Amino acid sequence: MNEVWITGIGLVTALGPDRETTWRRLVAGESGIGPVTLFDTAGFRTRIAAQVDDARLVLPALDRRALRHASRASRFALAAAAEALADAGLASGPGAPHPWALVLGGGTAGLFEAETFVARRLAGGSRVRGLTELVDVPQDAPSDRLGLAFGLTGPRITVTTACSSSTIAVGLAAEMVGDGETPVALAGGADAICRLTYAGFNSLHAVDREPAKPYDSRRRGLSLGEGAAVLVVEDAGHARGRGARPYARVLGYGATNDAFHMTQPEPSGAAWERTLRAALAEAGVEAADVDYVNGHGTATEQNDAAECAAYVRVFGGRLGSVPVSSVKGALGHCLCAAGGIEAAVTALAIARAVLPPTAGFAEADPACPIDPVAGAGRPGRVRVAVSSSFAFGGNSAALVLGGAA
Amino acid sequence: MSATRVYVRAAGAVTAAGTGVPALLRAAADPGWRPVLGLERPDAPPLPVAVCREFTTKDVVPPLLARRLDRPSRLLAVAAREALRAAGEPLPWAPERVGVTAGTWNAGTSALVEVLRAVFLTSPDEAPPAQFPSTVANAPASQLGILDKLGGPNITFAEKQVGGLRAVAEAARMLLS
Repeated sequence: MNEVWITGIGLVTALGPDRETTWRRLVAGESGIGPVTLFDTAGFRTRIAAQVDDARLVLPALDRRALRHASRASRFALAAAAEALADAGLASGPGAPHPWALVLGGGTAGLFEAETFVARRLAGGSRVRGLTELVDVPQDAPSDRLGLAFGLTGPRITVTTACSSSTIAVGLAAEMVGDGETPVALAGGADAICRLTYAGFNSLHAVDREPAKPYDSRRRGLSLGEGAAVLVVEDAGHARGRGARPYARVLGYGATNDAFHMTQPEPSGAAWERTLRAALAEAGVEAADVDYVNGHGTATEQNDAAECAAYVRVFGGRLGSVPVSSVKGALGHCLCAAGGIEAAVTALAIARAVLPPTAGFAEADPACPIDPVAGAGRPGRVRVAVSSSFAFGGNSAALVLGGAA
Repeated sequence: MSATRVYVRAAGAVTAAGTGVPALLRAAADPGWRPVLGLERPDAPPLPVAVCREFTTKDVVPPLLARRLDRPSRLLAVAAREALRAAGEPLPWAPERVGVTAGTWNAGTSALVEVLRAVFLTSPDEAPPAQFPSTVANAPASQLGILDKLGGPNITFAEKQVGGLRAVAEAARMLLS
C-alpha cells in the first residue's frame, strides 16, 4: 500500500468562493447561513440556508463545452477542481489529457435547473418540452464536466450515498492511489440547494428556523447548505518527485451500513461505532491516537445524540478531552458535498494546526460529553483526525487523516 | 484480511424476460425472444422501452415490507434475495460483514416527481415525508441493507449505463484491497 497525500484543495462554500476565504471566515467563527434567494420560500417551514453567492464564483477559462448549460452544482465543482489543481501545482486542461482518476460524490446535480421544467410540465402537460434544463440532471453530470474541462481520461466514478457520498469518494480515491492504480485522483463532491431537498427536509421536520446549532442542547434541526470540495489525492512518491507539499496524509477509511432505518439513526451509537472502528482499523491507529474529530454534527436532535453515543463507545472517558467540531453550523449541511468539504477542512486543520469551531454552539448537551470547539478556531497540533459522515439509508463512512511530516 | 481472488458465487436477476436468472438465460438462448415494450405514463402515450411487466415481490418480500419500498428498491430486493438464497441458506457469512454495491441511472425519480408535484401544485409544506427518503438514488441499496440486515459497505454508483458494471467491479476491488 503506497502512502497517500492530499496535495491540493479547492473549496466553494457559502462562506466564500475559494479555499482561503472559506477557511479564514470559518476559523473566525462566521456563519454563511442566511435568507434563501434562489427561490421563493413562501410555504416552507424555514427561510434560511447556507447559499453560495454565484456572482463571486471564480471560473477559469475552460473548454466552452464544459460550461455550456452547466448547472450551479457543476459550476461549483468546476471552480473547486480548478482551484485544487492549481493549488497542487498540476497543470491540466483539455489539450493535455491526464490518466488521473476522478471520484466525486454525486448529489442533486442539475435538479434545481430541472425543477423549472417540472413546474412548466406540471402546468402545461406532456406537450411541454425541455432540453437545456435537463442536461445536468444525471448525478454524474458534474463528473463528466470535470473530465471534459481538465482532460481527465482515467477512471471516472460517481458515488451516490446521500450525505456520505463525498466521504466515500475521497476514501475510494485514496484506495485507488494507495493500491497503485493511479498516481493522482481528484476526489470530492458538489451539491446545490433545490426545492426538492428544501421541501423534503421541511417535511421531515428536520430543519431549524434559526441557523443550525450542532451539538448544542438548544439544537432544533439542520440548516441546508451547498457547495463543492475537490481534493487532489496523490501518491506520496509521485508528489515528492515533483516537489509537492502535502496538507495531510490519508491513513484510511471505513464504510458500513446501519441496516436500521432509511432516515433514523440507530440510537445506541453501535452502528456508527462500527463505522469508526472500521476506519481506525484500516488506518492502523487506535482511538487513543485521535487528536481531533470533524464530526457529522447536523444539529438534529436524533443525529447528534446517536453520533455522540458512538463517540462515547469509541473514545470512552477520554471523549471529554477530544476536540470535536462541526462545520455545519457555518456552512450548512451540504449533503453529498458535505463529506468532501469536511475532509478538506480536516486536512487544513492538520496542516495549519488550527481546529475550526462549531458556529452556533453555545450550550453544551450533557448527553454529548465532547470537548467542543466553540467561538473561533483553536490552535492545536493534530497528528490523527477523524472526519465522519452518517447518511440517509444508514450509509456511514469515516476518513482518518494524519500529518504528513 | 484481503482476498487474492474473487469469484462470482451466485446471481439474481429481474429483467424484461422475467424474474430470475433462469428466465434471463432462456431469453438469451432464444433467438426469437423479444421484450414487451411499453412504459405507461399518466399524461402521454407509452414509451417504447422494455419493461418488467410481470414483476412481483410475491413470495420473496413480505407484503408489509414491500409496501414501504419504491419500485427500484423492490426490483433490487427480489434480485438480491435470489442471489443470497443461491449463495446458501443460512447465509455462509455474518450479515453485518456483507456489503452492497449497486448501480443506477434514475432510481429515485418517481418519488422525486411526487415531492415536486406537491411543492408546485399544492404547497411546499405538503411535500409527502414518506416519499422523500426514496428520492435518494441510494434508496434501493440502502433498503436492501435494512431488509436483510447487511451491515457492510453500502455504495451506489451513478454512471448512466455503466453503473451496474461499476458496482460489480468496485465490489471485487473492495474484496481485493
